[in-house]
Amino acid sequence: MIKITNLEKIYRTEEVETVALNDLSFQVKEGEFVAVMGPSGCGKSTLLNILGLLDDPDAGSFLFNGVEVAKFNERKRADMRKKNIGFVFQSFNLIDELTVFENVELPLMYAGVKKSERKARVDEVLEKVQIMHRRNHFPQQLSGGQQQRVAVARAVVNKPKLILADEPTGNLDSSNGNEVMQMLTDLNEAGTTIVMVTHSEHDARYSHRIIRMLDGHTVTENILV
Amino acid sequence: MIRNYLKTAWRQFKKNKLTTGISVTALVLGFSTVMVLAAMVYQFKTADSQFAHRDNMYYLRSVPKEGGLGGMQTTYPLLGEIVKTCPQVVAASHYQQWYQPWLKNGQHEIQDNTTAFVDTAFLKVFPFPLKYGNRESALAGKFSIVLSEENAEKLFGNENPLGKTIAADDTTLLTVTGVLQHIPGNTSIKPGVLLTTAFLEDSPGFKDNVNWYNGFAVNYLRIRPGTDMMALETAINKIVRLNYSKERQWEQVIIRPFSRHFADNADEVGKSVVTGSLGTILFILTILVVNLINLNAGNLYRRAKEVAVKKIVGGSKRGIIVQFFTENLLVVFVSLALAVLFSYFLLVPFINSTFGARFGDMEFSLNRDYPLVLLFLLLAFVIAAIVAVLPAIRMLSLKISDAVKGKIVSGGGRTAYVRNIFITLQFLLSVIIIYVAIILARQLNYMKAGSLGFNKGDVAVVDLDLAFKDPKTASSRFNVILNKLRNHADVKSFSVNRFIPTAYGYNTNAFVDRSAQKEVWMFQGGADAGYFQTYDIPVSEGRPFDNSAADSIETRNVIINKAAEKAFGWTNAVGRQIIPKSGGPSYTIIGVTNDFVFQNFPGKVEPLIHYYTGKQALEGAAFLSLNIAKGKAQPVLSMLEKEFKEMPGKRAFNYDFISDRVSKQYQMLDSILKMTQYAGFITIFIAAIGMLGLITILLRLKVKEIGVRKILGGSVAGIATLLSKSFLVMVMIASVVSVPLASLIMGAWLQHFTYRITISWWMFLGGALMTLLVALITVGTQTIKAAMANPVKSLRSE
Repeated sequence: MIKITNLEKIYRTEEVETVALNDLSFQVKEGEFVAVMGPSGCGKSTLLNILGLLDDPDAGSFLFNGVEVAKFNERKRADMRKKNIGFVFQSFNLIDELTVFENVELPLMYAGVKKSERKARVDEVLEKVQIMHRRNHFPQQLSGGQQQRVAVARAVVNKPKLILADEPTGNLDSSNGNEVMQMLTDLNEAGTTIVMVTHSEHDARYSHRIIRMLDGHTVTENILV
Repeated sequence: MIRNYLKTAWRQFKKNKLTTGISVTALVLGFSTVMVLAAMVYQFKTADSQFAHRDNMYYLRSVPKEGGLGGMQTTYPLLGEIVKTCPQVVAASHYQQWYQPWLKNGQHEIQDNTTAFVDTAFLKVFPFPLKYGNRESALAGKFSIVLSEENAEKLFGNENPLGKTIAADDTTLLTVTGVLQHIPGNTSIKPGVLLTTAFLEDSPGFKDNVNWYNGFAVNYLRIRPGTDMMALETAINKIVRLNYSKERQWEQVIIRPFSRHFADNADEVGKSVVTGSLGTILFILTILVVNLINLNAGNLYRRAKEVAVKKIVGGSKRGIIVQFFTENLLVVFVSLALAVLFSYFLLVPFINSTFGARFGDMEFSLNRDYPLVLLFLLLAFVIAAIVAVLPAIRMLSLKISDAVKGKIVSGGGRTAYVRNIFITLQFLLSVIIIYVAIILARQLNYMKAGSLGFNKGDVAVVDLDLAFKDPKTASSRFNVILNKLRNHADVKSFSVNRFIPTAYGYNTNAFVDRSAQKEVWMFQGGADAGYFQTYDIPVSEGRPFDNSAADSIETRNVIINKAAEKAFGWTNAVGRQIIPKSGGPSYTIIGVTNDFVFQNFPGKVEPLIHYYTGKQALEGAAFLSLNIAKGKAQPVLSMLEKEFKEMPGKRAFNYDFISDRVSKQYQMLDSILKMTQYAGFITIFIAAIGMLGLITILLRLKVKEIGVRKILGGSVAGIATLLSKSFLVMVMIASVVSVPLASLIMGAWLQHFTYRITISWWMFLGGALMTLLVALITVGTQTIKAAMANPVKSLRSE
């Protein structure tokens, strides 16, 4: 599903040039659950941004489902993102002014899904992440674990092929963290490809394969299953 | 989707109560002021536009040799000659305001000072809609009378008065042949009563004045479309050359489009109100827009994450811009609605009470004023678009990956730079208005305090134009009263006259000094023996008029002022002879008064001549002026009131003091001052609350910085100063930069005045300090509050 080859990303300011990704290459197959690990500043987040089409690489190739997307313009990237990718963040990133239901409904709205169908699909996914009883609450009224469950619901409601998770348990205690990891595992088992950046060895063990990064490129790959 | 936008907008407002409140308050205050000013300007610009064939309507002006616009008066016979000889003129009418007869129907009696005598074709020239009557025949009969809707109601209540009779001055019976519909406030001519010139031409006082020399006729014409105006004007001036008396043959009569009438007749002050209003509108709108952009930009940084998330889950740029636009449009429209209420109930009554007399009362009619309504709706859209789209576009250009991680928290760098320019601009405009208000106030006070050349304090003025029911008895009673006054210990002097300072009118005539062949135009007035003494006007050369001299001799004597003496080029005018250019015997100058302001307050003193009005008597007099010993005015006036009861009139005994009449002369300028002060207050208030909102937003973003500084040992005063400094510097820059701009504006404005203040540095210092104080209070309270917060708490909240 994902094939990146010789990917490079350099951040330049007036004085410093920081190499974030350096000749990075790897693949992720459809249905895989991959964890990306490494120390702070090794390029994990940059990689995730590029995979999520939030940022573009300076050089190299990025094939998504066989399509070269590295040189896509903003509009094409947005379209590709909308149709294929779901995001889960460490800080949940729910919109404070929208209720749980409305937060989850948002991607469907942007995708132009009809109201009746939206309601059915949101209810179904809220049921799945067991947050249905809080559907009319606002994010501030929920615990961190509950907020992350809503964020996962929002990421999957559009049935994306790929979920990108950026330290999804970073702001959660262990029991809530385990719950979220179990949800991701369930999603993966149902066929969704997952790429997750994490610092936690414990979380990484939920994945099939761990890519370890240092200074912008991969150093090792551990296959867990 | 729209419902979703509205819902989000509503939740945003609830969350940002302070900034929403500030935006709405600023918009309501700003919009209401702009609306009223715009309506006033619109009313001025669309004056007389209700006449369908306005483009074919014209009026005549007589232009003097020196050029310019001249006056509206021509000789009376001219129009008749034009109608007779120029087939291009479809219809024409005089519009003579000569006198105002009392009109009586049973118990109801009125006198209207807008009474006009017009020709049969008047309603063809001015197609005023009639409530009752036939426009073709309404003014055909000599004894016809057409009333305004308001006057018809005063005389006849709600019934149709067509065919009913009215007694004019208890002597002549007139038949009501028409009732005009209500005439909009911004119409040049608003007759309350229309009588016929046929009727006027029969009155002896009028007939004597009708000739080819006297110029008092006002003429309106309707001309066939497509007429060669140059040819028509030539034809008219041929009539002038052929008929006008020798002294006036140099006069050029021009045909002015009626569309120019309102503006032609607005004076400099009126025009400067229009220019000033347009300037103020522009200033206020700029401040409002800048204010909203700043608040929006400040808030958008808090919303960076929301925007990023929306983009990640599939939101388009357009959708996000539309969302911000909807939010702003909602704020702008709610404010617009509130502003309508605010201006309708508070500002319009204020404006009507201050400017109404000059501009016509402000009236609203959707039928006529819809372009203004559309303009405001469009304005609301444009403002919402500017203030939403600019910050939104900036927001959308931020990196999603940074925004979503909260890496963008404050608008530093270029954004801060732009924001600072905006804040400075906002204060710059406010400070200019404050400076203008200060200089305006100084000039007005200077003019009011300045010497007018006569005693404006203690002279009581009793109105003698009371329409006495028995003039003969009244006249002899009045002589008894005058004798009492002559012997009254507390009455220092008195004058019985048709003229008093403030009420000279615009009656001018040319006089010739035969010996030097020099000609001078002078304003004409009259005086009795007590006039100059009563008003403490020094007769610096020669003597005042003498009551004991024989009238036949004294009426050949005149008194001029210094300005006239100077215009003739004399050093001592006493004993010199002058003759009116229009002919007649010569007059001997027996005295020269010091210059005093008699008309055109507070303008330049023009050359002025006084004739002798003869022995003091009621006939021909309009005012009884009394110079009474200090503190004794009341008993004297009470005595007079009792005496006047013996000579009943249609109007009740009434008096005022010359100081009140002088104050009234300044009413227009006072109104301008009030408006400017209000605008100054509004703009500085909007700028200040805008800054309050912005600083609150920015301080929220700096909570961490403040906490860290405190932990590292920063004092409250130190931190507050650090946070306030940049804002105060901006206000200071604005105060300095605006000085030359304000000087330029006010320097030009002051040129309108003969006696004017010089603009000096302390006027600016006062304004600058006031603005700085407002800024200091606004910024200071917020920064001190932020600096005093517990650092542990603030760091935890980060």
